[in-house]
Amino acid sequence: MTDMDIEKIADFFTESLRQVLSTMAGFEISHVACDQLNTSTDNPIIMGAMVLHGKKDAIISLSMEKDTAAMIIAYMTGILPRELKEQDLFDGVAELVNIMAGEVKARLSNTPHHFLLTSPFSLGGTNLKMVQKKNLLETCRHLKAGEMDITFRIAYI
Amino acid sequence: MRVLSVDDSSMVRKIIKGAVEVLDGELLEASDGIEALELLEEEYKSVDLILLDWNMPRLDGMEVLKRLKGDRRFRSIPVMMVTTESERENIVRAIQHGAVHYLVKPFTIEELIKRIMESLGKGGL
Repeated sequence: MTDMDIEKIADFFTESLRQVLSTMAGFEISHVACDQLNTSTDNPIIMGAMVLHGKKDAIISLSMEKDTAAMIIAYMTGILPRELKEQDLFDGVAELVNIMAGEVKARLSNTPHHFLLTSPFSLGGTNLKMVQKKNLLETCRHLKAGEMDITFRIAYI
Repeated sequence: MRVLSVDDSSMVRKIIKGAVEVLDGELLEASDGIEALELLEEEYKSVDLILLDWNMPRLDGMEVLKRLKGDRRFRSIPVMMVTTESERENIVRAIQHGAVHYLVKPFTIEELIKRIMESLGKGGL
């Protein structure tokens, strides 16, 4: 990562996620501006995240309600949502982050904005929030697939 | 047909399991390279294909590939890389070290089945 416009970088990631979900789950997603969507929910959330190393380091995350994660992973694996274990959901959301980041890494590999991946990880709970220090450059995208909402965030760290 | 999937993501292994079952095959699973090599010590005679991720804890896919191709017991088992690593130099490296196919994530189930068939020398669908 470099000082490349963070909004442009965020667009790379969301385009990659669109491709991943279309290819592997058959979902088409659309963008909704971050401030057009109420993200607060009492439902359990799963967040997958990864640190990216480049000239500037960054952290990216994907968060979604647990039921959304179950639906996406069910479509990807062909396994019914009720048959998926909680661990499958955490693993699946982390792997979505991994695949999305891998695609962007390849796209930027021969540019000054190239970066390295680290191991993805996932977090879960209710009212899950990621709070950054003040003045960090960050942005987000809200994505909708039918009634399902997914939030992508990136912050330079 | 017995296929070994080596991937630290259980979701990816489940996707691969679905594809192998479409082909009436059986899937063996390992979540990293060390586990895969240990499993092969016992099972290598009955494994027809190895699907290998690149980025894994403990022992990455490229190192596993080198060890497989450096061991006379394992070297005849075809290996297909299934990974997010899509840079050209990595694909070339894997093929040079003996991988027969290279499938980049994301992929469709149809692509996966087709590549498995090709890796087994059975052509496409």
